[in-house]
Amino acid sequence: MSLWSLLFDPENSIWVYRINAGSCNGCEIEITPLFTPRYDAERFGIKWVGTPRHADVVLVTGPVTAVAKESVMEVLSQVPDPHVVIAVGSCGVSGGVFRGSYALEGPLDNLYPVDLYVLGCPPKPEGILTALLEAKKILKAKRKGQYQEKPLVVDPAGMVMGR
Amino acid sequence: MKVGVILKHIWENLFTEPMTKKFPKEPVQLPEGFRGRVGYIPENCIMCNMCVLNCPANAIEIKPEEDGKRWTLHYDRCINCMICVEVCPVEALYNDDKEPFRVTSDRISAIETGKVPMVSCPICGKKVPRPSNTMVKRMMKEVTPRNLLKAAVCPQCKKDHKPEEIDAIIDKILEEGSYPDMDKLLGKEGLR
Ligand code: SF4
Ligand code: SF4
Ligand code: SF4
Repeated sequence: MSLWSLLFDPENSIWVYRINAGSCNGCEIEITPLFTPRYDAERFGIKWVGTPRHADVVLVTGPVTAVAKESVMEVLSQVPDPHVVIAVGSCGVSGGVFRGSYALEGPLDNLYPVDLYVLGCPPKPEGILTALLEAKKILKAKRKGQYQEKPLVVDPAGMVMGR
Repeated sequence: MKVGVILKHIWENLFTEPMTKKFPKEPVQLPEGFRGRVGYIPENCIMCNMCVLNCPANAIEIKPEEDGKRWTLHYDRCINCMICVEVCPVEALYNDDKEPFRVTSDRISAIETGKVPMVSCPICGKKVPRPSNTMVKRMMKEVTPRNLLKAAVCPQCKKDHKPEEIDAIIDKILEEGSYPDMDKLLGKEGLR
């Protein structure tokens, strides 16, 4: 990374907003440690913001319930483009244990394009951190007007996706 | 007194490492008994459906294919509860605690899959599912081509022939090498 991009690339400081779309709070408990000294996402310039209008990245947890759907869509419509949406946890990814319930409108990717999925129930904070670091690259590509052509495979510990 | 304790902590913190995990540089440290990925060994599976019935997230599917049955686990739904590992009667599933997490942009391809093929009965040639390695080990102590062939004899032939006759037929087959599905039986091609 050149000094120029280190100093002036907006992707070096992504701002994160989090939506709870009916999750059981297990995933929230795993997201919160990211911003504590133990995992410290702020050393990568990742900052938690309190309003969707300032956000580059949106973390969505939970299956989108019928009650939450309207608010979730409204919040997502307020996020400035380009942005990256990350579905966190089995619920956010596919509905998980709640899949097929009458109270669900989701999963999220039926309603809104999702860029990255973090699998697990709940996923480890390291997993969410990996997704956030990957979101930087996606954001950069989106700002240049290109988007990833081939599905992205992330394997920090030698695991292979989509065998 | 309290000031002394605080000063001691400050003094210690000046010389110890920060408590932040150096995650992307160093691999994740996993605790003992961590519930990671569900691993599948198709050589052991008997397609008993126990995992499908007990999975709380309906993440496992068994679908018939031409020439066998395919077992598929969809990781996008799995909640890593390891109930399937507990209920599997033949140790075909295990907890792979080496995989800490998965991040993907294509959730459909996040699957674990395997196939149990049909093999022919060495006596009458009728198609039967490939015998499970665990079952062979439990019944005959060892997994050898001979024992696998014995386990692949279909129930009707087991009724119609005496054990000595079956042994003789299998000896003959092993000598001639005339069994058509030997590769599948030994799992040489891999049953993925
Ligand atoms: S994925 Fe698991 S921990 Fe996260 S919200 Fe759903 S049930 Fe709770
Ligand atoms: S994996 Fe185990 S429980 Fe599932 S069908 Fe195979 S033998 Fe039965
Ligand atoms: S670990 Fe739990 S959710 Fe995952 S496949 Fe096994 S039983 Fe289903």
